[in-house]
Amino acid sequence: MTSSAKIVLAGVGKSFKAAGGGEIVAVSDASITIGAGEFVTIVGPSGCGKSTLLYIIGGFVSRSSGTITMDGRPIEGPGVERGIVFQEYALFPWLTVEQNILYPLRRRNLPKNEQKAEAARLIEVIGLRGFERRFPRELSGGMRQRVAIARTLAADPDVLLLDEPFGALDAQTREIMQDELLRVWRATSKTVCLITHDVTEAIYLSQRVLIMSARPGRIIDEVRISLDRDLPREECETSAAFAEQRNAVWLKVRREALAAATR
Amino acid sequence: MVPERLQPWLKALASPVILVLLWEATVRAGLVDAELLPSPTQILVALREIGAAELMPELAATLFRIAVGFALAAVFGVLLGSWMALSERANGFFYPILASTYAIPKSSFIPLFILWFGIGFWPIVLVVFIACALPVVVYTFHGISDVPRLRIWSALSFGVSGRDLFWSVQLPAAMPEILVGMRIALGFAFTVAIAGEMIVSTTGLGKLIFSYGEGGVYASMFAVISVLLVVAYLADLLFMAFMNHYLRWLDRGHVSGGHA
Amino acid sequence: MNMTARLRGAFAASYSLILVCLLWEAVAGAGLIREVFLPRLSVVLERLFAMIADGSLIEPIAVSIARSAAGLAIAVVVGSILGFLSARSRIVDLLVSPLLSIGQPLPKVALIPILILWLGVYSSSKVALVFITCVFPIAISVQAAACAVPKILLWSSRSLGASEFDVIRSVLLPASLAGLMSGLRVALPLALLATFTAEMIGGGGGLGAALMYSQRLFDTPTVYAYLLVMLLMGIGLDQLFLRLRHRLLRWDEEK
Repeated sequence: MTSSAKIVLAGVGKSFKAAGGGEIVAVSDASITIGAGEFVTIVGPSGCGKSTLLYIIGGFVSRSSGTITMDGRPIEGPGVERGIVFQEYALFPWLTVEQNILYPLRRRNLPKNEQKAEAARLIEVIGLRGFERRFPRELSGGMRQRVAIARTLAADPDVLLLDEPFGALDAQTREIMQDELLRVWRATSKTVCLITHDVTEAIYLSQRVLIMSARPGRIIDEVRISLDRDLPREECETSAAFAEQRNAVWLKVRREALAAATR
Repeated sequence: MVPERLQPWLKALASPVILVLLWEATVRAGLVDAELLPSPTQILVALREIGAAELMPELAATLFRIAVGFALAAVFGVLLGSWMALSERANGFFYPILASTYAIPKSSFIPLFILWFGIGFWPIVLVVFIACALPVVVYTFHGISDVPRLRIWSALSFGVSGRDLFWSVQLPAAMPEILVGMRIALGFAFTVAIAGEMIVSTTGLGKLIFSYGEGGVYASMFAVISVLLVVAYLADLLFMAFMNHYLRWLDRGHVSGGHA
Repeated sequence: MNMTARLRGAFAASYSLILVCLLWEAVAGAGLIREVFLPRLSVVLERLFAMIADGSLIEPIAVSIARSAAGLAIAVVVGSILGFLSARSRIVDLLVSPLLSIGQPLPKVALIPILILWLGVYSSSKVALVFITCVFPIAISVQAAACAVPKILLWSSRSLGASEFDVIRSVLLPASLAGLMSGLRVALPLALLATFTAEMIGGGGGLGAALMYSQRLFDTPTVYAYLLVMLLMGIGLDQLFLRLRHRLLRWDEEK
């Protein structure tokens, strides 16, 4: 299982100034420990601040309170060790698939031929051989997200952060991409933290699911997922264990969603 | 009937061709005084009479000034616009100055510049420069400011910042806007350069136009003006072609990036 | 916001302009540049106030504004009709749109000698230039706005029982009006610019001609004074336009 803590949040909070004066508390008092090599998902109703929390972990947004560390050192800003995949605007549209993937590789100070070789390998891994010279606008949504993930992997980060990466995809593509992500995780043993509002996705992918309340977002619960991961997807998702854990989490999230709607 | 591929061409050319034919017909029929409005064929004849030897040097001089002024303005405009987009202080400083130059007709600086630099190269180049700089600055400013924040963050997560971020992400992302601004600036360049040469009337195509006008050789005057308009149109066409090639990655459904 | 806060805000917003003015005064006053090239700002302002006081500004300004307004008015009428009809009728579109896209990037100032030939050196040629310059952006803008009305909006208003006339009146006209406003925003400064340019090149009264006249006399302070007047007119007109737009288009606020 997890040996050491990779990312630790203690009492992290974030508030913004509201337009008409006053404050909006997006995240309040989040304390999370993500172990090295762990796959953790944060679920919660829309607008609960889970994206904000992810951005704080990524170092893009500063926290208002609390501490956050990675490998024991405080997180002060974005860094190559924490790669991120967004739902939209992930790729650089003016670069081809290959150029996009080469982008972080160029900055890793590898010799040129190694860069090209690694890019080719990643393109093969995501199954897009032959599409190297295409521009993102020529690709489907699923293909673009594949390239985005490959590109983030090219930077070789220790931690992978994903912000609802499959939210813009249709249901079938989403399932394929989820399996891709699992495959990559198992092959590289990186630490993964994924944000989603899709509870089924959370149960299927992660070892631990953290449930966030409606705004101001607090981590109100944590569920350790136990499933027989050797089962093929069809059997896994239709098993009783899956349904039971999914329902448990879903009910909690729903309660929060309703609470937010009636506020 | 008409093959599909040719249809857009037909649509684009039908109207102008009809206009030209009507023009020719009206003059030939004597409905219009040919002195005041030569027919297209008369203009072409006059053009041949003027000859390349007389026309080309002046045309080259005018185009050269436009090119230099435009190029300087493009570089300066992109740098200033970027600086203003990235620095609140720079924006606060330069914005009032730029906003006030906006309302002044740039060609009105020609007399001043002639006073300062004498007739010839510099007054026109400078006037083209200040006419072109403003649209490039404004569009660059908007282009750089509108780069989606998630795109910047993606770059940051690759350890990129500062100059690398600017040249490898912000500038390319802003290019669609910047090129639109440059296209507008190109139109201004021609307008201001021609206005300047007509005010001065001792150099370039403006000189030719005025001397033919004064001399009553109207067909030649029309001829030079036609050349001017055609060259300006071709310049715009060329720029658009360049733009479309350079921006072939652009997803035209969403101008600023969309779901890529 | 009280008065001092307002003033402080205005100062902060334009301190660079004030800096430029001070720099101007200092450089010119120090005699670094010859008087005839760069007179002191104070001298220019003095001249400007003198010109305002003795009323010599009134005629050129009135003449230039009248020409711009006349040309613009005709451009609005013709441009709106052309733009609207191009959006509604495919034949009109076929005839008009190619001419609009060819004409738009052309430097209309090149036509000034022709216009002077036909219409003389006084107001008619200036009004004609303003018209030719402004009709393109207006027509293109109106056409784009009328075309952009989503078909769904048209269908749903028809299905609510509106007649063809009602649809035009309640959906297409407001959309076209919005297009007219954005075209006008572009055309307004163009109108002034075209007038000044035509006057500088061809003479015949107005601010542009006055500016050229004082330049020929090497009366540089007056030249600068006229430039300031043009600047202020441009700014004033833009402000006026924004207020007008706000009144007419309350439902479609621009940022």
